[in-house]
Amino acid sequence: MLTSQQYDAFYSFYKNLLDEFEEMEIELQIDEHVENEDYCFIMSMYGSYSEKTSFTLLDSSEIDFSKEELKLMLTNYFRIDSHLADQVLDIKK
Amino acid sequence: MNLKEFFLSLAAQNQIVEVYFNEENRDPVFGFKINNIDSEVLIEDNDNLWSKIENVINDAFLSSDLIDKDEGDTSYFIQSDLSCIKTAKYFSWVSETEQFWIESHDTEFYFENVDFSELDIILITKEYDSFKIREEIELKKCSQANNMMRFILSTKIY
Repeated sequence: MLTSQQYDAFYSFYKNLLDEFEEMEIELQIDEHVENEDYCFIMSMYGSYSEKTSFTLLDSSEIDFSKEELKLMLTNYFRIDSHLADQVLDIKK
Repeated sequence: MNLKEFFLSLAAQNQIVEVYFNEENRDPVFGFKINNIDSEVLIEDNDNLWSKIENVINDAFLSSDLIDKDEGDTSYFIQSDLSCIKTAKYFSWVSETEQFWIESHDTEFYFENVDFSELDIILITKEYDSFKIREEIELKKCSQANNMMRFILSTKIY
C-alpha cells in the first residue's frame, strides 16, 4: 500500500498546486511508464471563479436600439408583460 | 436606447440579466439571457436583431480587453442594485490556455511496483474551502508487488 506519508506528499502537492484557483477540477491520467512503473500527470483542468465588479462591458457601445423594437423583443421572446416592458424602457403612455 | 441602459434598466426592475461570452462548442458566441431565456430565441424569427445585438456584445468583449487574459466562458450577471458579478472559466478552449498551464506546470508522479490497474483516472476537486481526491480510498488500497516501492515526484514549474 501507499504509506500515509507517500499519500500525504501526493495530496499536499496537488493541494498546493491548486491553491491559486477558486474552484478547479483536474483529471490525472495514469499510464504505465515502464514495466512495474506507473506514472500520473495532469490530463485536463476545469475551473472557474467569481468576482464582484462594475458593469463596464458595454460602456463604449453607442448603437441605439429603438424602444419599440426592444419592447417587442421583451414581450414576444422573453415573457415580459407589456406594462413591465414600458417601465423598463421608460415608455410613457 | 443603448444596450447598457437597456440591461441596467431590466436589472433595476429585478429581472435576471446575464451578458456572456461562450466558447463551449469551440466557436465563440456572444449573447445575453433575460430571466434565463437565451438570446438565441431570436435567431429563428428575428435574426437581424439578434445579429445586431450579438455584434455589439462581441465588440464590447473584444474592445474592453476583458478576455485578453485568455479566460474561457465569461458571464456578467447584473444585480438589481446595478452592481455586477463576473464568473469566468480560467482556461480557454479556443486559445488552449489549459494546455499551456499544464505544460508550464509539468508534473508527474512515478509509482514503482504499485498496481494501478483498477484506476485509469484520478479526479481532484478543489472548491472554496475543500480539497478532495475522489480516488483516495482506491489509492490508499493500491497493493505493491513487493516491499520495494519508489515514489518520485517530478515537477517543473517555470
